[in-house]
Amino acid sequence: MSDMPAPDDLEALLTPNLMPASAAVRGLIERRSSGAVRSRLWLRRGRLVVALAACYLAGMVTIDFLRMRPDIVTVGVLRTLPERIVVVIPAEAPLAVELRAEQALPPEQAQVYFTAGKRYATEAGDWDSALRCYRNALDADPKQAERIDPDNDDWLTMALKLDRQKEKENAKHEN
Amino acid sequence: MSEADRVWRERGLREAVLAGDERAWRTWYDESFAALDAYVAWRCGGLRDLADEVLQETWLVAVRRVRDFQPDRGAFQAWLRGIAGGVIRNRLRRRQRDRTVVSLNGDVASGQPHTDKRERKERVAEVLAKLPEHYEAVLRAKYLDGKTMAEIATEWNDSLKSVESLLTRARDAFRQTYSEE
Repeated sequence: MSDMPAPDDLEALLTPNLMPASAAVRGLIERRSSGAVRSRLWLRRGRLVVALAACYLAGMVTIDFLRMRPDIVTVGVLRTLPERIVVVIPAEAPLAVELRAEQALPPEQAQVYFTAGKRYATEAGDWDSALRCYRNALDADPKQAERIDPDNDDWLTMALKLDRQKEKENAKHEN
Repeated sequence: MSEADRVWRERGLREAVLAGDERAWRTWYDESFAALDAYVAWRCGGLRDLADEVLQETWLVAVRRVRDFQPDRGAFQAWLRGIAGGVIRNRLRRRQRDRTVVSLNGDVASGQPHTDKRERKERVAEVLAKLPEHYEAVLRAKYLDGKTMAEIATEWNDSLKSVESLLTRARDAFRQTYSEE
């Protein structure tokens, strides 16, 4: 092998009698390489399925998160809210309203007396005090006696107004 | 087929194979098998058993690495030849290692019986694997493809004198490497 090949030998070495691969070898390689291509297809499909499943799971997690979120917020707000403070504003007593009426000036004074009278009648059933207040109201504004309001006036107010009207009529006749 | 058409077609086949299209792969395989087979057999010095092993490994590597193939850089056939060249070099290296078996008493023994004819073929394969790429290309064009000097010069867009000179240098290198060791 150590001898230099002659030019003719070189031609023979580089132009061998080449036999093509057998059909069996060709078929075997085709089957194996096609199998690799096929597995690539399945791999691709598998990746697609995994991606879709991941998207689905992400959607489910998002929905769960959104559902849970209001509860979390409610808990947080309840923790930070101060205790409820109930402020009771006591209603003004009829007597206090009457005292306010005494200090008021006409024509507002008549209205406040009427309010005090109504409060005595409806809340305390104190008809004497109610009568006193109604009289003071009609004294403060005599024109109120000329107009009877069946919707707002109670029986005592109406009776007083009628009485005042009669007194006025009688005074006119006497004169 | 023009170069642009080849690139367009091979790009389509590549995409189809990457998408798992078996028919596209078979088309490519059927078109390229005979040429690659002849090349591999020539590179293996006509050793059919070695050529079969190399062919199988080359196609399996190609199908696994088809994503790396860039049609605009060269033809599929050239890409396959590149893979086959690498596979042949690895196989020959392994064969050489396996062939030299050192016995326990230090004697170097041959792993399998070799005839002169087979040894000569193996030697051709080894020498071709050692030659630089441009020497291998001109020897291939001349002895495997059977082209004339003028045809090679036209195809390579080179002068006749230059191709003749390259072939002479390639033959000298082959002869030199063959006679070494």
